[in-house]
Order: sequence, then C-alpha cells, then structure tokens
Amino acid sequence: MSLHLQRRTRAVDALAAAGIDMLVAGRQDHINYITGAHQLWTAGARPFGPVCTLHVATGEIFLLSTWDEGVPDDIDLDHLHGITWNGAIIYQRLAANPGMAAAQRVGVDAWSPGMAGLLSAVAPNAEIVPADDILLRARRTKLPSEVDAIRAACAVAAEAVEAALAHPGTDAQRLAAGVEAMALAGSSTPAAEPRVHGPIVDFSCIRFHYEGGLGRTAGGAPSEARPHAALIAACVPGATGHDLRQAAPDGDWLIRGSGMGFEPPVINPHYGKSEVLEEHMVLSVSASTSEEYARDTVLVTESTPEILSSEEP
Amino acid sequence: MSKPLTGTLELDVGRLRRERYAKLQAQMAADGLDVLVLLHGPHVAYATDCLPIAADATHVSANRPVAVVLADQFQPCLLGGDPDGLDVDAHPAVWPDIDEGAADLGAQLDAILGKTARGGRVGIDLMTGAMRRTGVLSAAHITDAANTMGAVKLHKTIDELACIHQAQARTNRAMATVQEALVPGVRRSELAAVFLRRLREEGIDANMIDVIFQPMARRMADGPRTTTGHLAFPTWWGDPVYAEGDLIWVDAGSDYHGYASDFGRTWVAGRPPNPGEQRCFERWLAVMDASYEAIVPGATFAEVCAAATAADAAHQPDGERPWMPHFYLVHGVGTESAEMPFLGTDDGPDFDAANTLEPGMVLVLEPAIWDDGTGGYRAEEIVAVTEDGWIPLGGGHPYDPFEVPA
Repeated sequence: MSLHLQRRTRAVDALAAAGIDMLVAGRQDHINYITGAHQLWTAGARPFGPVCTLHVATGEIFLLSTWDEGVPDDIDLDHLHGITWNGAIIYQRLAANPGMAAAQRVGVDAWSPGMAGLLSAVAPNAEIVPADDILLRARRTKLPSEVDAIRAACAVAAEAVEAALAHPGTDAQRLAAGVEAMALAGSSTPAAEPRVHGPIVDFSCIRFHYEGGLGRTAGGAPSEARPHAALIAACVPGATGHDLRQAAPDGDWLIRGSGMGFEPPVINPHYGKSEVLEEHMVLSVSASTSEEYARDTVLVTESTPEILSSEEP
Repeated sequence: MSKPLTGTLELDVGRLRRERYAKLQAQMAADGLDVLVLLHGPHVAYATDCLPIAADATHVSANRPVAVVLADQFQPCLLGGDPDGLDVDAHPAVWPDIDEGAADLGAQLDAILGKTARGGRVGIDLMTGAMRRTGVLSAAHITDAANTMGAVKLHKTIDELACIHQAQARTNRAMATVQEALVPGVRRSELAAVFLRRLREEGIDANMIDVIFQPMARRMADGPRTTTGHLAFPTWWGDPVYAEGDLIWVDAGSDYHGYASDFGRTWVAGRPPNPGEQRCFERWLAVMDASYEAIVPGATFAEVCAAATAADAAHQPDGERPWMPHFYLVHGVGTESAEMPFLGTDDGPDFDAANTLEPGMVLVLEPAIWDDGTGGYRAEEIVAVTEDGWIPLGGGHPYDPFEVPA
C-alpha cells in the first residue's frame, strides 16, 4: 500500500474510534497526511477554511484543488473542488457532501466563529468538535517510509548547515548561502526559520512533505559531548517528560515531534512533564549552553536512539 | 489615469503603527467590539507590528504570538513574539496549539480582559483545537474578527504603500538575476536557489510562496486536468529541466515589513519569443492599457472587468474573459499575498457591480492571455488607487524577452 494510503488508514481508524463522522480539515499538514497531495507551500499558517473533507465511514475525500497535478490517482477530478471566492459555492459543496447532512460529529482541525456558523448550517444535527488532537495522535509514531523521508530531508538540511558554516562573510551572507545550498540540494521550503547567528547555525526544510533539520555551532564539541547528547540518550520508549527534564542540561532545551513539520509532543522546561515517549517517534532534540548550541533529528527505537541527521558537520 | 510617483514612498514605522492602530480602534468602535483577540499572523502584525515569520505553517502556529486589542487602550497587548522595540504591552509567550499552552493563554486572557471576559463582545479570528478543549473565552460573547480586520486592511495608509513598494522593488531586483540564470539545461531548483539567495541579499527575510517557474504545455489538453477545463496554474511539482523554447510562467511573493510583493512574468528559455508568443504579449498589453484607463475612484469592479474584456474581445470568439477563470482580473495585496479587493472572481457579476474602487486600495492586475497551441502570456503589475487615478508600485520591471511595441 502506498505511504499516503497507509497514513490515511491510521487517520480514519483514529477518527472512527473517536466517533467522528466527518472531518473538515484546513491545516495543510493534516491534509498532506491524509491525501498525499502536493499542494503549493506558502509561509505561515492560513485562516481556517474547509480545504479537505473526509467521510470517515466511506473514506471519501473532497479536496480543494483546481487541477490534478500533484494529486494521487485515488482522488479523481470529480472529487476536486476548484479554488473559489464565493461563500455560497463553499456552502453548496459542503451541503452536497455525502454524509455531511446526517453527521452527528464533525471534526475540525481549527475553528473560527464564521466557519462554525457555516458548518452548523450544513450539518444541522452535528456537534462541531476539535479533531486536531486525534489526527496528531495518529501521526505521532512514524511508519518506516516516513522515517526514510525524514532522513532524506535531514540530508538536505545538512547541506545548508555545511554551506553556512563554510561560507565567509556576514551572518546574512552565510544565511543566504545556506538557503541557496538547501534549494540546490532539493528543498526551497524552510520548516523552521533558518538561523545563522555568529557560530550558531540551524537549518530545516520541508522536502516531499517531511521535515528534516539540525543545528550546529562552529568549532563545537565532538558529537558525544554536545549540549544535547544526554537528552538524546534519554529518548527511549517509556521515558516521560519528567525523565527528560532530569537529563536536560542547564540552559535552553526543547524536545518536540518532527514529521510533517512541527508536531507534538512538546517537552521543554514548562510543558510536557507527563508526556511518554514511544518507539517509532521522531523528535527534534535541541539544547544550548553558554558556549554551544546543537540540534538533531532523532528516531526513538527499542534500544539506542538513532540520529537521523547524523551527517557531519 | 496614472500619476507619476511624486516624492518618495519612505516607510515611517512609527506613523505606520499609529495610523493602523487608530484605524483598528475606530473600526472596533464601529463594530461594537470590546476586545479583539488575534492569532492569524498577518492580523497580529497589523495590530502590533510583530512581523510574521516566513516558516512552515506548523512551526509558525506552534508558539504563535497572540495580539489582544482592548477598546480605548492606547497600545495593544502582545503575548509572545519578540516585543523588543515594539509599542506593545508585552506578555509571556503561549503555545496555543497544545492543551497546556492554550490553558496558559486562557489564564492570560482572563487576566487581561478582566470583567470583559464574562459577557463582553470579543472578536476572534481563529481558535485552535486546544483552545476549545480548554475552554478559552468560553464565557465571552464571541464573534468573528474577519470583518473588522478586512475593513481596516482594505484601504492602505501611505506607509503600507511604502512597504508594498519596497517588497515589490526588491523582489523585482532578485528576479532580474534569476532571469539571467535561465539558460537551456538549468533546473527549477537552480533558479529557486538563485532567487532565495538574492532575496536575502536584498534584505528580505521572508519568502512567502514556494517560487513558481512553471513550464507551460502549449496545449491545455497536454497540461494537468482541471475543474474549470481551463489552464492549471500555478503548479510546482517536481524539478523540471528547462529546454530552449520553453515558455515559463513565473510567480513569486516575498515580504517586506509584513507586506507582500507579487511578481508575475512570462519568460522564454534560450531564445526570443516567436511571433505567436509576441502576439499574446501584445494582447496582454492591450488588456492592461484598458484596465489602467478604467481604474479611477468610484469605478465599479464590473466596469474595470468590462474594459479589460472589451480590449481582447476580438480574439475571444467564445466570449471568454482575458484572465484565468479560477482566479481574477485583479486581487488586492497587503499583509496577505491575496486579499480584498477581488475583481472578476466567481463571486459573480452582481458582486462586481456592487463594489467600487476607492483611494488606498492596492490592485494587482493579472490578466492572462492564452492561444491554445501557441501558448500564452501572463504577468502582474501592482498599482495603488489614489484620489484621482492610480500610482504604480515597485518601480517597474522589464517584460524581457518580449518587446513592448513603440
């Protein structure tokens, strides 16, 4: 089964288990997870709107896209909705969606008063409930092909880190060199904002939906002595947020999910104390001391964590 | 009628902030709002001047700044973001996408809003799932902030025009270098690399869309299938290698001090345009001239669309309009790359007849000409509507390799 269909199965199972009849998704990462479609990357989060619907009982999907370029074959042209500026057309499409009128629970991945009014009109019997947590829970552990995609994205980000470390000049010039190298290596879309600040360099990219990234300090310690080394070693199945706090160095640190971009869990000095790590999670692990900053992308395995961004620098 | 730009469009950051905030307060009063709670990045930027980060949506939303505007308060509250140098009442960061962070946001909002949190009229633009799970603002009377924000953003202040002008001029200069790099055998990724580097060199941190260099199939039937039966544009999938004679539609947008540019041009790889391609360009110029002529305050959107349509009618036996049916003849630009006003959309003729151009609106004109089998021409130009006509923004950019007839 192709990767996007494996992912969709996970999402459908999780939504069904939560009693959701219909999903109305507006977040691009959720839409990418379920559909596998390659849609235009734009910076920043968009307002909430009905970009993709999923009828949980049948798996039927409607996707906002005027063309089938980048859309997997299992979503045919008659299940694509062209771009529209017309609220009445959006209403008609949602109202005509099989399963919408009878839905008891409509899951949404964000909410606005205007969209809530629209959804209440097209699904008059339904409770409009948040489903972002259900989807993110399904996405939390990664399939083998997802890990491969993340590893490939890390290799692209590593090219940017290497270029920015090697390039002479101002921070801005080195940042420009890093961004250029990343595009040449296969991604013109950043995940986090790229960072070059004196010796500190951090790049991440979205490549074919998946994020890879790493951060280094020029002239920093060998890998086993970097500020995040103990945190990485603590990323084992069953480790809690509390355990990870114990392993953290003095100074800033963050552990968070990494997959189709930034994902839960978020574990830092303030949040995530009761989170529990599981095998097959992929995490971005970063820490800094007064001398050094480092970040890597790490796969939680049954034994020692595997660093997916292991390419030197 | 075009007026040359008199004086310079220099950004005065203090004035930008003061004038936007005054407009926001006035609009809140008109809309009967006690509070605005804003999470959408461009809205936060409008209210506070905390500029959005040009990163992936998942990263931007994870610990997004939140703006809170209280009626009659002299400055906005900013939760998170970087308040350094801003005229804001700074509050700690929150993480509205996770339940613990949303609970923190709820507690901060209760403290900031005081009694207003109970029964006050609160305009909000977005709630995350975590905010709903943790009951943020559940005791307030919630309304959608979209209309309030739309109203203040529709007419630009002089400093907003300066930002758009700067964004466009810098994007234009970056694209001039990219065009020099377009030789047969070059890949899309190589052009993107040049563009992203040059933007940084122009002092622009924020690339807003994955830059489009779409090689156009000469016949629509050879391109992707569409819901409109018309062109597929913009598409970006894959890493095409350009061959001599490829017709490339270019689309890019970057951001200067929170305001977007919009670059559109048609390029031909490795050779001058052939006569058929040049004819498409000249039809496009005629549509632009007619559109410019129609842009005056008080003109309806429909009148501008009619002028553009009439200019190309002789080439349109089926009565098609000279722009792509899934888009528009004109869209606005500002803190978003496409915002009101929209002219010639599927909102239909009644909408276009009911709305008029007003001073301060910014218009991105993007007609597109298509001659199936030959190809087509598409480019974009930005103007601002003034008291008596319009002014161009961005300082202009050549149409090379096409020739503007004398």
